[in-house]
Amino acid sequence: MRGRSTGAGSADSERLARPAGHRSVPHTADLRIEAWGPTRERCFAEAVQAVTGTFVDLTDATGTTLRSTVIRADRDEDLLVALLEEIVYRLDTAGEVPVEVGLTAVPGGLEAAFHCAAVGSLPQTGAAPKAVTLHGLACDRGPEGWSCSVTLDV
Amino acid sequence: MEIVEEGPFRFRIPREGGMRVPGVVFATRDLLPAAAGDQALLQVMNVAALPGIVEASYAMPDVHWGYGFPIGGVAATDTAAGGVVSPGGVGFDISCGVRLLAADCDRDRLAPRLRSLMDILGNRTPRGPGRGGVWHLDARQLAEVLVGGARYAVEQGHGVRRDLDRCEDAGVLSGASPEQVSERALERGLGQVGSLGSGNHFLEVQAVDAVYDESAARAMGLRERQVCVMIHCGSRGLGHQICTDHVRVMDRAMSRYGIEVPDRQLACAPTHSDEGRAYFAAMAAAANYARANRQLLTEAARRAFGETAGCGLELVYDISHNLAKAETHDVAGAGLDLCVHRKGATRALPPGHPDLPRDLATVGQPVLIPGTMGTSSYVLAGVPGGGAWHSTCHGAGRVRSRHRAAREVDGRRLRADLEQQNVAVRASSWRGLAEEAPQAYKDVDAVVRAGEGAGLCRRVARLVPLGVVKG
Repeated sequence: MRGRSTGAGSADSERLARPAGHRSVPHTADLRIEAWGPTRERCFAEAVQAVTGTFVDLTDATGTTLRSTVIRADRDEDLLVALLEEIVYRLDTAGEVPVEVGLTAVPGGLEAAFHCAAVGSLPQTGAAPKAVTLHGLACDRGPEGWSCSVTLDV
Repeated sequence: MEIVEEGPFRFRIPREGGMRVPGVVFATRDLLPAAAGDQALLQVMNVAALPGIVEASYAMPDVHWGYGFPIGGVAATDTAAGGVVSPGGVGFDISCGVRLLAADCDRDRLAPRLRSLMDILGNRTPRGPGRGGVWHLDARQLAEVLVGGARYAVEQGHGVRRDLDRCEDAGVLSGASPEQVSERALERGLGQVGSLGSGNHFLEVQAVDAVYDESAARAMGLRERQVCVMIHCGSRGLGHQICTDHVRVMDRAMSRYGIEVPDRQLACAPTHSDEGRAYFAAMAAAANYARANRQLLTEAARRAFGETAGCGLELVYDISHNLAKAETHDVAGAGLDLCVHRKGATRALPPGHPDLPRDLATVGQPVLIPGTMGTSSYVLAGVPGGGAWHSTCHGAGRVRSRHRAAREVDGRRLRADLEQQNVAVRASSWRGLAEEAPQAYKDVDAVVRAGEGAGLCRRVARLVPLGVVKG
């Protein structure tokens, strides 16, 4: 999976050159992921990648369908939740998984362009997430960039 | 955090900070959450701060770290005293539960046909992520499911009248309103009626391995060596979306009611508020979806058994372990109307309770406890004077995260080991199988013994797996 991001102020933040990445961390009930990046959009794209990587292998995947949507929320952490909820929603209703996501900052939110593949065409590697929780939700901007952590129900 | 051992199966967490009541954990010392970073007992304390909570914030022997509420948590609020309902106290998978079916054949007769039966069940049981269900509905029929639950499914020919006699609430929870269910929830639910989903959900062919209470087992329809089918699933995407939607609404509304919670996933509103009533109506709709879902999987299992083994399946019981219910209980000598949240906990009505089916009146309500793939499952019964508002455990309870289980267990090896033990496994993915490895859970025997020792339930029968279809 590949993540792309553009957004207001991103050029300045990119210059901080904080590496981007993600990981999943132990939680006895469910799935907890952490992501980080030089910009909010890159950080959130990493979070998308962290979530999809827990249940499908996207190594050789190609996005065949483009789904664009605008997501708005008052707070960055709620924006992250809404973004990840889109993964769950598209999986349940269309059987699609984002292979690549492009995130662009818009007033009050994000425009997300999901390049999706059919879940049935991908090797399944784990239980799929079914909801995004508010438990231990965090989204912070520090001097080196952005980081977030979120717990998902699987 | 102070934890006081009050008896061999009971620990108390005294009130401190914002706690309105103490915490009470029914467990042995070995069963207390111990993993580094595990926040289950902190979550017991957080729940104790909910407005209107009475008596205690309870935890069952299988308690483990959830989000907001611990999994294995029970909390009742006094509705007349501003008590709240919290969607997080029910969980995302509303009315997730267990259904047990008893076959009219024993394991010896099934043995030569088990492989082909498991192949058919594996092929015909929709599971895993996304769409797919055995019942294809239009929007009008889905609305009927949300109001009518398993009763509607039976009326449409997907079961028999006796099935409803053996379902909690006769298969339909009253008060459901499809109008309180969002378009997104309906979209997610439309294509999933009659499906397992994923995670820890399963359909398992089992055999009765031991009977502890002969007369109770007979009344429930169970005998030694009998083949059974256990189905564990819930309200799929529809229930998850309803929880998501109503947590958001309450998260925004709490300040209007002067409510603060230590964890946003504990978002709540007074049960009599607009938000509280809207949630109850939507929750009931999801509960009915879950009951219809298990009814349709029952029909599919019956067909598979009929074709391969020539035997039928009768319903033993169907019970939820994620639900909030309006119940009346005696509190300090007065009958109070309570909103009882059971999050990963099972209602366990005692003998003589008016809500029991007539043929189980002297026995108590069956409680169905799934173990793990390689271990036992249990049939328990409610007992007189059962604590925690007549509640008990709901399963073994996780001790290792999915992350750790997947890292430490090889799914292929696990399947080979289970096959070696004569447990036929039909998995969705190797990693998904590894995440559900038996070693990721507490010892279900110890959990059940603790529940029995704490006076929450009693054992009726033990079941062992013959084959499992994993979600």
